[in-house]
Amino acid sequence: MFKDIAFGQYYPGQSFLHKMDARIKILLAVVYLVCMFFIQSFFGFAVILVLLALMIAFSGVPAKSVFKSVKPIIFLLVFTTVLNLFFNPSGETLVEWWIFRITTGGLILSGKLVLRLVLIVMGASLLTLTTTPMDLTHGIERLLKPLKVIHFPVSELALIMSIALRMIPSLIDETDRIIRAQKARGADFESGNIFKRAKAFIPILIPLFISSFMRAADLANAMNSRCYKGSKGRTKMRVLKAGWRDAVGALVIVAFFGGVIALNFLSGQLVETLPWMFF
Amino acid sequence: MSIVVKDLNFVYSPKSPFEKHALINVNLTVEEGDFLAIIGHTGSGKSTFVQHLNGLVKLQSGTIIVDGIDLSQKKIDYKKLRGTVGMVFQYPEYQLFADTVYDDVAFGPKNLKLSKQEIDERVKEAIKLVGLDFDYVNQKSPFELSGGEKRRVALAGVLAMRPKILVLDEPTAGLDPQGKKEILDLVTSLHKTMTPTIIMINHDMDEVARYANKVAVFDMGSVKYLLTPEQLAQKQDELVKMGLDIPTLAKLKNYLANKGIVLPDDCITVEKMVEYLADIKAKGGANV
Repeated sequence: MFKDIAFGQYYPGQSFLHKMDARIKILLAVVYLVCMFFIQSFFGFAVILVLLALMIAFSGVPAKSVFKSVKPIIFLLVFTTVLNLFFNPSGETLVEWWIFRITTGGLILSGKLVLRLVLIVMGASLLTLTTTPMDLTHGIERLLKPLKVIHFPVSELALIMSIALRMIPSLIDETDRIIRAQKARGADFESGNIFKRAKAFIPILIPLFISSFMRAADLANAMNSRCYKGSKGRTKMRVLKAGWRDAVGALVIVAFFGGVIALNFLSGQLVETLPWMFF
Repeated sequence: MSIVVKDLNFVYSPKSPFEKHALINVNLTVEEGDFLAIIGHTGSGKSTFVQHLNGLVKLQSGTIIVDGIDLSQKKIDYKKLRGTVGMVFQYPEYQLFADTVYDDVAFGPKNLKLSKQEIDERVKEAIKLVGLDFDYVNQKSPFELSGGEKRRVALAGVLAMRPKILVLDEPTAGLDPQGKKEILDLVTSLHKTMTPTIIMINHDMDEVARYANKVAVFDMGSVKYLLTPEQLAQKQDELVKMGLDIPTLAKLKNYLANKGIVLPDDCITVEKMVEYLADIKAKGGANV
């Protein structure tokens, strides 16, 4: 029953974007994110849309998967659109009813908001679609390395993340097995009211907890017996390497956003843009 | 007839890149009273097959009739089916969950909506059947028990449903030789007294030869052979090619045959073999 769940979003491929260094991709994603808040005009959004379309084409990831990433924020989109649409008093009034008033200002603002959020999410999803969870973890670990100066346990954090990622498929398998075993004893998860159903999950959760703890203890022993003693002096099996692709990717993104921001400056809209950064 | 399986096919994740044909045209009949052993390589479809028998895996194509219940019908009485076919999974001790052994064993009968008195009766019977002392264990937490005892409790949890057909998936995995023997002897005595039909997945060919009366060999999703334990020796080459093995005694028998000492087919237990060999010696034959 859980067999079909694809873990994470990663879409396997050999494209330009897949081959880029995870660290660079994360950094570029951050640049993309920040710049999205500077863009104010519909023209700017159009430029980004073209850039995003190009990146999707280059990544070899089906556009459908990218669009799917917007699904979780649909509620947020609707909510903010409604608020902006009905309660923004700027501009000319188009329709008025009771306390609701739709104005041109509200219309433009909510349009931009939707565009901004959708483009941000789609851009960010391109990162997780083309980078394996493990590479992402390594990338984050490397990027957070400077925090070691203030004794932040970066490597440990990365280790925790990789172990968690590694264990998810095992847990899914285990859950599936236990569900089958309890079903074979006549357990019924599909009928009854909500309390009954919640109670029906106890025979699954308890064995699952117990086996997780046992697994964790086993893993700790296995690590100890192979002399794990913290992150000090550990080397990586897979060393991240930045290559020409990363230089090209970085140049393209920086050039794009340099241009966009310059345009914004020239049109003197930056001051107007600033409040967006805190939204 | 206890179980009739006809043209059973099963595909995992159909029409996706992960599509996998787990079962291909499986035909198998298990009579009441059979002790069927299923052997096969990992991924040969044996687990998928046995999980069909009590409806844990939904039938895709073909027909299965289990003790008169037709699984190809739209409406299946799952409660009845699961009360009929008891399924003991691999490492069943990992399914224990309740505070006390009593409650854990009572889980199945409770799900069958039996009366309190009936549940009590069945729990007592099941715990006794698996060879545990009811007064000693019934109020203990299952997690305080030893590994072997936990497995017995899990088995009792299935037996408390009083199945007519008992399916066991590698019931001896991870046990020491003594524990293995105890579990298999227990299964044998259940076969005689309580559950007339037993289906067991097992990789240990010696155990298969000793306990089963039929052996189904699964390979690449279909039943390659349906043999008696006596016939296993004749299929040595084929089974080895599949990554399987034959019982030690069958190997010895084939080895002796190569050396010119031909033993009869039914020579599959140590006792029988010793008897035949002594016989040959007494007749003054075979000076190898």
